Amino acid sequence: MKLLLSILFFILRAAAAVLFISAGAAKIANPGQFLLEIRAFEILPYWMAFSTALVLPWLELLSGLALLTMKYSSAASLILMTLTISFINFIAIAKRNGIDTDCGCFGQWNFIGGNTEHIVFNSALLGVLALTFWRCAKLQRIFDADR
Amino acid sequence: MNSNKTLTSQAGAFSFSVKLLVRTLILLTLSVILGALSLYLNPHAPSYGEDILREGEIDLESALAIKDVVWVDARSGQEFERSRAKDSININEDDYYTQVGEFLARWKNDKTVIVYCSSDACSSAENIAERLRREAGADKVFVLHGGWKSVFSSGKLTLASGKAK
Repeated sequence: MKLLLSILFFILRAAAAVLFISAGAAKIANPGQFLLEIRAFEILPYWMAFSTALVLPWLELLSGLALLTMKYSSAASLILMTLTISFINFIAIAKRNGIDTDCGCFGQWNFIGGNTEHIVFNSALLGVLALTFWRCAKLQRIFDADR
Repeated sequence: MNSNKTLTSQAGAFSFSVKLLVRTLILLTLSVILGALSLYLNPHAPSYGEDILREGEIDLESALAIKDVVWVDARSGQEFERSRAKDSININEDDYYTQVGEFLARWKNDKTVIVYCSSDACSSAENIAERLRREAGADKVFVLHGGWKSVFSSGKLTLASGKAK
């Protein structure tokens, strides 16, 4: 049972990591396009949208890599959880304001669909990240205690 | 004995929190540095303040410079009747098949078609433009950057209201 849970945890962590790595890489390739997607939400002021378009893709990529390699994995899952909560809020505000636009989460590659599907998907992802954070934090504290 | 255990546990939690904070800051700092570098090294990176157009988009200045234009208003019928660009045709997603007839009657293949909806935040102009390309066979179809907001605020286009003739 323990082994099965470890395998399941590994698969979930790897899937979340690969998802964020690919999302980050797609946006790094074309930050101009990502800036347009952020501005279409009409929530952030220009300077904030501009900074987000440049920094957020790298944050996703680095955190995804950290999660995959288990280096800084607690910090990475904490960052990714914060990002996912922000995405859910953004999409919910856009939905409330009647804005129907592509979130630009995966660059040109949009496989999720509308705003509601995005909220459901991100909520599930948040659950996986919370589990990852809890597991990584537990492992790190056991490791620290052994030293 | 018990208080020793509590102290060790508290120290462990504190050390974990400090490590977590430092590592989070390291990841954040690295991302900011790489993001700033990409501003100079990535050819697709935008310049600050630059108005970027999506593929298939056109800005109002360029649109006004084109001679033969068919304006398509992709907003709802109510919004169209309230105020629109003069001589524009209303084709929205709900009534596409009933409204596309008027477009086909006015459009010739050499004419440029410019579609707009409320603003950059709506996707109906993009969807209508795609359908006009695919289903009506129109080649020169653009989506107006900024949508109706840019038409209205520029004051460069004659406006009309009420039911279309």
